Amino acid sequence: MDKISCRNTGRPVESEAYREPWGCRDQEESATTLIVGIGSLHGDDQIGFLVAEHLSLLDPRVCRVRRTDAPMRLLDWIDRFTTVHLIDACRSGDRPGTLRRYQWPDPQLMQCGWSGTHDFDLPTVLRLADQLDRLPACVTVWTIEGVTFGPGREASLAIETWTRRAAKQIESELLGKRHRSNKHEVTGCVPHSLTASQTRRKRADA
Amino acid sequence: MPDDRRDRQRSIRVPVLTRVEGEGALLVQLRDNVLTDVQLAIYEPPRFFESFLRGRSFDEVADITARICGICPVAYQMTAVQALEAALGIEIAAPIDALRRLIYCGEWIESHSLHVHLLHAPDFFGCDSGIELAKRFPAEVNRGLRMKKFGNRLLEVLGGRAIHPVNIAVGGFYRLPRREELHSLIPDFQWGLQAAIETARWVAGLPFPDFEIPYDFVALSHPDQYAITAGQVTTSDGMRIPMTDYEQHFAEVQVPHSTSLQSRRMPQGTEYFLGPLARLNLNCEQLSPAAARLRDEVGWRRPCGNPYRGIVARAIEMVHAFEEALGLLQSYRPLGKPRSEFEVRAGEGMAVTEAPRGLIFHRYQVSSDGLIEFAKIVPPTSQNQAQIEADLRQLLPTIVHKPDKAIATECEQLIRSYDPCISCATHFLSLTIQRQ
Repeated sequence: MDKISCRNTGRPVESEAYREPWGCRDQEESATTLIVGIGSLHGDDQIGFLVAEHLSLLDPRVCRVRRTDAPMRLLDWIDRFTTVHLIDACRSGDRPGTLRRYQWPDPQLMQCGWSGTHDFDLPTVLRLADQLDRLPACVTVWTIEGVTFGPGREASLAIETWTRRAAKQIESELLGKRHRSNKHEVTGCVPHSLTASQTRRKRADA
Repeated sequence: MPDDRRDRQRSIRVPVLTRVEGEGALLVQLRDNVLTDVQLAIYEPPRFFESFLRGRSFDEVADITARICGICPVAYQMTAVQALEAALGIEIAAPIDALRRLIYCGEWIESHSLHVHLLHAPDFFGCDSGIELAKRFPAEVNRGLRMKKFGNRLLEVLGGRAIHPVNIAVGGFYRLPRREELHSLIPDFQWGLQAAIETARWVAGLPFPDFEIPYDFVALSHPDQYAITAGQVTTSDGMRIPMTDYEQHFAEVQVPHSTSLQSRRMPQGTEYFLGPLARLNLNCEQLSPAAARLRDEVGWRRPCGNPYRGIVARAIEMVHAFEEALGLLQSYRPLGKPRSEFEVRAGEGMAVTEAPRGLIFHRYQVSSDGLIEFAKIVPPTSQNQAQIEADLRQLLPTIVHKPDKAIATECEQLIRSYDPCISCATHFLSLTIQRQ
């Protein structure tokens, strides 16, 4: 499959920001939604990057799109956003390509196998942000079941199909369209339970 | 095993070291409460970077070696380009050298902030994790994360991105930042300098275990600056050698229990200590003014052979890095070409710089058509590994009377004080095939 390319330069993009950090980002400063593709360039682990690339075509005044292979980077980015969507590949034994949606804090999210440098995997980073009262009100984690993982592995042939499907679903939610709901597909962007920081704020208000 | 034997023999295993980068384990064996063996076992698979580099073009090396580590890629890139510049006979202009120190400061800031606040500080408060520490000290942890963010931001602006930067080239940079891009960071770095000072005061008051070793410290030293990218290799017993003589005095050896090579000082074959504590012991006169004032304020005395006080050394280095970066940001003018011009030629070169965790060495041989014929990379963690094991041999006899869990915890804390990066260390394995 083709490598991801920067929209502006056409050069292959390998990490973090889609738009050159040197470029003008004035438009993006107004965005209240952050989308982060998490993963690597190896096998199906790149699907978080690919979905983020699709979503980077959305209006930058509404969404800021980034990608990273280190969940810790979220702590550099989340502060000024009210809504965060995180997209990552997973390997849970589900049918390949299955898209799952978790609203933080969902206990099932903790049970997935995660990895990250210095023990800071995605749930740990979200818990840390929550503990520090820095977690935005609405955090949604999307996982897509992959098959091939590991250094140098090729992506599954169907990864483009999975990518388009996931991007379409997430875009629908971002644009406020209602869609089919199941246990992990909640319409809209309302947390199903209070996060620790929200609970503290509520108590403080009371 | 009979009960009497089980009573006499104890094996304490820490199967996975936590709050360190990479995959390592610890095995301690005691017999009649006497230490018989201690092994810092690095079992992360070898990564073969030196072999990957052979046959690649010299201008790919910085980007490939950056992939060794997501926390300290600049250290690998900077050491690689400086070694290749030595091989190709390239002179670097002073403004480019200043920008290189600037980006290195960014890496020290982001790496030190992470270790001080989320990896090491929890140990002093009996916290199992950074999250637990954040519950008790949210202001301090938030301050640390904000400093880390500014370090990362500097890497983004100067390096193109925070993790595995793409702007570092043999001869200089691919692109010089605009003046306003760097100047826009000044308010953040002014805040960062004050924040780092507060952090240093905070960690200087921590309760440090009573544990002193007369270490053989090794670091780069420079008469005019706190050595980061240039200087001579210096030791605490007074040896001072040009970096080109590094391999005459330091050698890598293989141990069966680790996929990482260990380093020894030659010819005596002894272990040595790298990193912020070594740098501060050897170079504390070259600290920036604010860092030097803080050094005196917190009562830093050298020689300091307490590895746990590495957290104070790191915090003082953060003050230095913020202050030096601030000066470089304020004085920056994008003058001249981003890269020196040069002709590709055959040659061999080596370089030593100071990664956040300590001294790092690279040597390359380049062919006349610019391809890498030989590469050698010695990261700091593999050099510190033997010293960590020696420290554990000192510590364990004083704690063997404690329960196994407490011993394991104290050993982990000692290992963490070095901020080991195991992923960096595991990139070589000597393979022997026996055929019958």
